[in-house]
Amino acid sequence: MKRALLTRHYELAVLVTIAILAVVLAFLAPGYFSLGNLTDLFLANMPVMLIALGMTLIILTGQIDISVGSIFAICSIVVGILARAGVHPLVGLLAACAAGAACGALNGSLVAYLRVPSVVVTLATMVALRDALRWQTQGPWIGNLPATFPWLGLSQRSYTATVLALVSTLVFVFIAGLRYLRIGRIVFATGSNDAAARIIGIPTERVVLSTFVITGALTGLSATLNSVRFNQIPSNTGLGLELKVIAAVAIGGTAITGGSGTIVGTVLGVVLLGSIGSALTFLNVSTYWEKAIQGGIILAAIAIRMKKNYRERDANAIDALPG
Amino acid sequence: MPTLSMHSRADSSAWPKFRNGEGMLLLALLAVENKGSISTVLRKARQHGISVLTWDADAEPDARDYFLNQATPEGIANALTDEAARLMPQGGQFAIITGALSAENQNQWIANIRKRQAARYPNLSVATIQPSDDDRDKAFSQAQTILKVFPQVRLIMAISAPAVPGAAEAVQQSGRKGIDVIGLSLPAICKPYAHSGVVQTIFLWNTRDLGYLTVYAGFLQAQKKIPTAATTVAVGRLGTLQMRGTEIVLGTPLLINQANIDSLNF
Repeated sequence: MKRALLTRHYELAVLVTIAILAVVLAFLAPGYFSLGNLTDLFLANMPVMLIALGMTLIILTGQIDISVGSIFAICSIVVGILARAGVHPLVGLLAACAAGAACGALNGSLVAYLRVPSVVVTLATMVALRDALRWQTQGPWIGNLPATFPWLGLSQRSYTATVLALVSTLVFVFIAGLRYLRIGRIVFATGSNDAAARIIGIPTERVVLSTFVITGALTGLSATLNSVRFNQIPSNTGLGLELKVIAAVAIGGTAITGGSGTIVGTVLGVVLLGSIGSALTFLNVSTYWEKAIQGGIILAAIAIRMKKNYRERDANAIDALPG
Repeated sequence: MPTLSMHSRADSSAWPKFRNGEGMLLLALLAVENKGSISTVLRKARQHGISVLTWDADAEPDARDYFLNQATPEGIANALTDEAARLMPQGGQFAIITGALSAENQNQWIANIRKRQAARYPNLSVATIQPSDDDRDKAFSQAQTILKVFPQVRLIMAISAPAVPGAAEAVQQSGRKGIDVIGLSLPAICKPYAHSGVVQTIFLWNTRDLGYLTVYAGFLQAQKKIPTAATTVAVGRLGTLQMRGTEIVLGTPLLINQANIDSLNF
């Protein structure tokens, strides 16, 4: 069965889009590729990247988590409160990961064991967690952070290098783990066919719970790494973060119905979505077009993806024909 | 919906006394985004003889008696533009970071900033307008991009509260000297940047005065002491305030800078 390269390897479509954008930028705004700008872009998109790794797992199992923005806010405040109490930011980092994992465990157990649809559970926790935080903090930002807080106590340069190494390592671990390890394959099995997966002995509830816990922990990690870039922590941080994360995963080709997708695709989705906004400013495109262009790219990505789905279904139907 | 209702039992030596049992009900409310639906209820309240005063954001004009307007779009825009001109005596370009491109109030401010600039300061110009989604981190990224794409920009005017510290942090981290940040924001979140000298000036309506005006106007209205078609009204310690139709205008925005920022705790 011959299929077009772009629809067979969906990630290539995203890669080609990024390449086109890069060529246009290289000609019209070469300053975009300055080390300073690339560093700024990397750090700005690092939270989305980290959370999107976990979100890919959740979506692969056929679930979704729209509460990550609220979890991000809670974890940021946890980091801030601990830092102000004199706790070393690395301990704060572990605490934020634990707080995120706990929120993830709450979502995950309701989804996996009570079988409440994940969109309902996380819609509820998205609102409940953010408003609980609003009630707790009463609004003010956390300031007066100690001198050990900025950049995790490192220099700005070594902080950036450390974060780059950490994010790259995590991306590599997720790629390899999903592709080669048993725990990776059972995520796909759970999302492809939950009933069949259970028959062959996969504890699908525990798989689903784990994906939420992992995403929560990654949210705590990203909240910490993001908070230390500033000297204050807004109490309403992370608004709309879930949309950026889910959009990146969807653009990256992970089927929103579960069972199919790749981390490489997600990374490309984050890169595309994360670079388009400032790229348009560099190209002097009116800001008023930015959201429309972003929406167009998301729509195009989903359309190519759906075409792939239909082709696969048709191919399966043909394979099933006798003779 | 935050609704404050006050019965006629308030009693304090500082305040003119409400007589007990008079049965006056004052409704002061914040009408933010549900103007249409809240106005229906307010009209009913007025039919029942309840005085309705709106503050901060208005309802439909026929649904309330008076609107206590903290600052007019012209007042805010003029203060910001004049301050930009003061900081850029040689002229030059400035960038605006707004909240959302669809926000009605912010767009009104931008329109009035452009009007003021065109009328008074031909040597100033707006290099770009970028949205921040009212998010500190997004404003930070936008300001970083502005500094790179528009190196001639000498001043960033951020008209959304979290955008001022966001832009200021970007300017501070860039290490570039001679770029000022001004805007509309809250003193608490701008304090570090006002002290480091990145944020020159922020404007805000005086929240304490707005609260005073709201309660005082309620008192006046309860006694029917605001004459119809009045152009000014005497409001206690605030003195005489201008009226525009059925709006009582608080006055010029409060200027906050290094000198007074520590005395404001909000």
